[in-house]
Amino acid sequence: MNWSDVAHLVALCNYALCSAIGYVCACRFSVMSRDTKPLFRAIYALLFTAATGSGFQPVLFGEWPGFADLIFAAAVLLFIGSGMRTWRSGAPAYTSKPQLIEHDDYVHIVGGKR
Amino acid sequence: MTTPTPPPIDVVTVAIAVTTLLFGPAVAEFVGPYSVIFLGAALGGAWSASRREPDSRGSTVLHMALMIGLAVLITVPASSVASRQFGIELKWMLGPVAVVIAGIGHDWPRVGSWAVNLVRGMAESWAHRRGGPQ
Repeated sequence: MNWSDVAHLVALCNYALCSAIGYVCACRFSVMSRDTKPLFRAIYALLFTAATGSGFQPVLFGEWPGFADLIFAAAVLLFIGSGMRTWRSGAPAYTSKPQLIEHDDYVHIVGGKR
Repeated sequence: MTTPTPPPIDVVTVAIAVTTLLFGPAVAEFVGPYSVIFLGAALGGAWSASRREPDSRGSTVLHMALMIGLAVLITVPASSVASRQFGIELKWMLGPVAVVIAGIGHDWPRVGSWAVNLVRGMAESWAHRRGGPQ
């Protein structure tokens, strides 16, 4: 196996890792909505774009990924994969904009006007 | 007559063949000029996918693929028009226009209705002016 073959294999592994990152992002988009805070939507949109650019870098930029790219992609995949359980049943509460409470649901606690 | 040796079919050789197919010079020559458009479309498509109501994964992936495909198709002509309109060089318009086209997402029917109403208004105004005061 020569250096060119190694470069091709690294590019293929990088493409696979970046595809997995893109798939995780797409899964999270499927549970987001307009009520999701724009910050989290932007974070995952940028992550998806970066994964696309990194996975296709030999075609888009004529650059071949190295082992550092591989390790970084694996680390990012592990990081976002660690939140799999949190996102399993929909977007977590901390990612949603606070919802207005209906007036009928108000509960009087103490003092003030009723 | 000697029989030809069969090509190697080990995992490494197959992987290299797949990579050459994906990232070979033939593909790079075709896709390379579209790199800015493709990345802009990916960003816009991801943003518009995050705005949709919760849906299945397949539907979300299909939406993103459609928006990226639409942006790749119409970014260059739209950028030419915008470049002439705003007096900015074409190469600087490609990325932002691709982001906007893919970012509109499922609101394209509303954009279409607005455009139709605009054209209708302009046509009525032109017809009124041509008809003259009654």
